[in-house]
Amino acid sequence: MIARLLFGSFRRRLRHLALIAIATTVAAGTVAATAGLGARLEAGVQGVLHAAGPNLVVRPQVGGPDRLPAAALVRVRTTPGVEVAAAVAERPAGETGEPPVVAVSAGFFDLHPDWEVDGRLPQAGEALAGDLVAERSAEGAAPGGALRGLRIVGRLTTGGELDRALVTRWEGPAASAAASDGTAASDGTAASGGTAAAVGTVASAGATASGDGAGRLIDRIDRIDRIDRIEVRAEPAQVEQVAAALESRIAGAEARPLARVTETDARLTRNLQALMAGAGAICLLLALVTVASATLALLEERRKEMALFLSLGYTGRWVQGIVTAELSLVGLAAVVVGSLAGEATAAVLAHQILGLPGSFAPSAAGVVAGLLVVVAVIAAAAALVRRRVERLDPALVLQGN
Amino acid sequence: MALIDLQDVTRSFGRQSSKSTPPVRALDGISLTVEEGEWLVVMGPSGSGKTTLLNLLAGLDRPSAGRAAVAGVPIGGLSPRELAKFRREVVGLIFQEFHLIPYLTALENVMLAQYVHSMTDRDEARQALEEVGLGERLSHLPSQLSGGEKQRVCVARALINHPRLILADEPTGNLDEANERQVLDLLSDLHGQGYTLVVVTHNPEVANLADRVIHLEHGRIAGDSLRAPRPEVALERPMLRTLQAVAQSVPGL
Repeated sequence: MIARLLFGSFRRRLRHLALIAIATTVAAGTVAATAGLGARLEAGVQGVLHAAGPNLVVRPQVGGPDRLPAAALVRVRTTPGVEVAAAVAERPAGETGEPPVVAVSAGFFDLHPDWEVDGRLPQAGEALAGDLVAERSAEGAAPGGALRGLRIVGRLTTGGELDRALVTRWEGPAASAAASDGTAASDGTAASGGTAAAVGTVASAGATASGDGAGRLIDRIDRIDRIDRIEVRAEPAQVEQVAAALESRIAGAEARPLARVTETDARLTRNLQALMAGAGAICLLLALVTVASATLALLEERRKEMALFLSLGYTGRWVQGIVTAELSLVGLAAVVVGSLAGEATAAVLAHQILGLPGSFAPSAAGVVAGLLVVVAVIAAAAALVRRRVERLDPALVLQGN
Repeated sequence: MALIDLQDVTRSFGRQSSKSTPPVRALDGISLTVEEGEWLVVMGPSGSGKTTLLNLLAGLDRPSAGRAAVAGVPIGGLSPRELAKFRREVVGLIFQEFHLIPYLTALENVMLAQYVHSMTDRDEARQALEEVGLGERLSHLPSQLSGGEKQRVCVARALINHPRLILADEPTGNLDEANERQVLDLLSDLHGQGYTLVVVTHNPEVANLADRVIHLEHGRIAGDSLRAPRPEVALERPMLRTLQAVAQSVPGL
């Protein structure tokens, strides 16, 4: 019987229901498109930012100690707004021509994913040779070769200073005296410090920031007494605040924003997202007004029918339920259609206009936006229905008033 | 016990506090009892309170003062949910304008009244329509039925839940003579089966068929006449048969 009532009513009230459906579809489509576009924009910006590398560097202050304390890396990583932080410790080139050695902690290659590495990441006793080191060292610096006791596993091309260095990953504490001449040890023994000490032993490399490897890295790094700089990628919109926070947390350190252009891009992105959210909200509001208007017209047209239901002994709640169910089915179908169209529009716009990857997979933001629209529409319709049914006097209506 | 028992029932519309427009008393201190199986006709000019009385008996309205009981249920103090229960269990309504759902067939309109009890019985609904002479019209929409046929669907709908009281508001008001006759015959049959009917009408022919006629004026009962029953009715109604015999035995009465 319910199905028959709903189906019959749909056919009879197609005009009103079509208006509700169109308004809801447009609202859902606009909201989904703005949310989907915003999400794609965010993802695109994040991708660009990741490719851009660090946007902050923490160094010892000029005139202060020439190294950062070992615990600084942990403090940096726990500062709000910091996404990735990697410590770098350097040993300058030796007087007899040993290449500079740079030891890096986990996260370093996350900050530099665009580097050319024609091997794999270093493991214990291994290193990457920069281009200039390789040129000077000829065969020894080729992948598979050995240099100063460190086996070269790959050629690293950065286009910058590190091309002159051997890049190793460290885990253990500061290197032993044996490592000070460039020979790597993997026993994790501590260095004695001093300006000529090696930066540390090369132990196992953990490519990700999770698991025992990362934990050991952090523990060991705490005991290393020499950190030359910490490279940081902070939330682009908060670079200045993060820099200020880092300087206040780490005595004797200065934090310098590197890529101000990314902060500008981030601000522009946020403004664009806010603009799109505003447009979506306005569209939703207009849709709700349209839905309310069409619902009121529908309820007016159904007055006698609702009064008849009440006169037959149906409760007010039942009458509310069947009318709301009809509107809800229309709203739900409209939201599904609108959201799919909106997500498709967002993918096309992202690809064609913004040059972002045009994935048609629904974004979480788009799905949430669609749910928001359907909840808003159904809630608005249900409230109107309840109010009308409660105020309906079946006796008056059935008399023709 | 009387099926309908009204004691000093008043129904006012408008606010007591309003000085410019005092409340209107649609019913003013009405006392009325109707026995089970009785056919009562309510007549009176427009605005006399006929429909208000009917709405009250149907549980679509509540008295402003007085005591009103239908089938032993004091309807004045019922909640909206209880009134809905009263309407689906005690009364059957027949409207002047039929009020059929236009997108449901004749059969489905009758089943709609069944569904209020969360169940439908297609066979029972079919039988109800056959009893009112619409066995060939089950799948017709209201737009495909004549006025008389629509009203007969209303009658079937009103009867499907076996109510104790049938209330009809101008049941022949929108019908031509032929259809009117059909509906009146139907009502007479129902009365013959023992149903209690309260019918509001302007039509004296309807009044002639009833057991009793009351006249309302300005919300009050201006006249209350017990009519002589028709012979075929007298055979089924012992009390009235006795009265008829008494009347016939008294010269000049």
